[in-house]
Amino acid sequence: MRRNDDTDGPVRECGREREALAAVAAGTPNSGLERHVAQCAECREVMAVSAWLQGIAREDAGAILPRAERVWWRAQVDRRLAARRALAERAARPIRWFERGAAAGIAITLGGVLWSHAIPTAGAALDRLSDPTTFGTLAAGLLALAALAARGAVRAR
Amino acid sequence: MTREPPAAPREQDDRAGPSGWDERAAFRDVYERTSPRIAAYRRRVTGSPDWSEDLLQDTYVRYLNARRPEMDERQTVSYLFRIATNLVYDGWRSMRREREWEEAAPSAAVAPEPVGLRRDVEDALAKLSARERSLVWLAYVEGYAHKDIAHVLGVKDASVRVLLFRARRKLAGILDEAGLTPELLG
Repeated sequence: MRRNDDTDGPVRECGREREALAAVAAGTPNSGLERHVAQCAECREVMAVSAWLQGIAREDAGAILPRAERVWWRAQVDRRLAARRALAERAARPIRWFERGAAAGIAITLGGVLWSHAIPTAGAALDRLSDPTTFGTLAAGLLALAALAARGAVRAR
Repeated sequence: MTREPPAAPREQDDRAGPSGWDERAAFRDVYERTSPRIAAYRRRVTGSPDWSEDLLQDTYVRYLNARRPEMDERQTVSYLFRIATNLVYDGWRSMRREREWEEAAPSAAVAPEPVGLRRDVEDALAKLSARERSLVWLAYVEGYAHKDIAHVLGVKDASVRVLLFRARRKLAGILDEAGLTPELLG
């Protein structure tokens, strides 16, 4: 019997547990094993637990199960649906690229318009930024850009 | 429960050439040999016959649609146990309903209501966690060695030894408390 005290509780095993398990499955413990089991708490526990579990397993053996043909058919349908989804995904890819390109184009145009309208020179820009109307326009433009970028990122997923 | 499957879509019939029929026959053979064991395992781990029938089908659908290597009988069964286990745990994780499920499990047993000793053993099993049920079932019904259980459950061999010992001890304690001694089995 082996002991291992490095866990929450000691793990106890007996070298004849598999023999005990086989005896339960066969329903015929030999006299040597019987003598051992009488003295071995681990094997007694294995035999008790196995006997009950194998008992309900035997009762389960009569359960009515779906027919193989039905499962096969479902697998074919699933396979075909997955193939169709993959095809649709591939077909939608150019549209997604086009949408991303359009979003980038809009963003660049908007940025250019903002730049030419609101910031004609670097020096004037600082002056203009102090103007609430210019600052508001710039902030709105940046927000629009951020929204477009976020939308593009979400759709790309 | 054993209803005939609906007629297969037309494309499937076109597709089922000689190799399709071979594959179908091979699957039927695998299914007939393994499904009672997988069904019993799923039923005992989920604790619900309703859920387990859906999950049984899902297990074989995933098996059929997976790119799987050549396997012998023992490896195929182990592979199926692994798919079954993953589906149970994935289902619990994604639906976040383990507690609901475990609470609902006894009342969900609409199929022949278990009586007497069988019901008592089912109640005892229900007091274990899903992983503990998997462990004891694979070890004491399927007779799996620690390394095979580790493969099915995706844990280390060494952990199986400890976890199985604790699960067995817990179940033995519950059975003992309920007065379920092996002598009652006759």
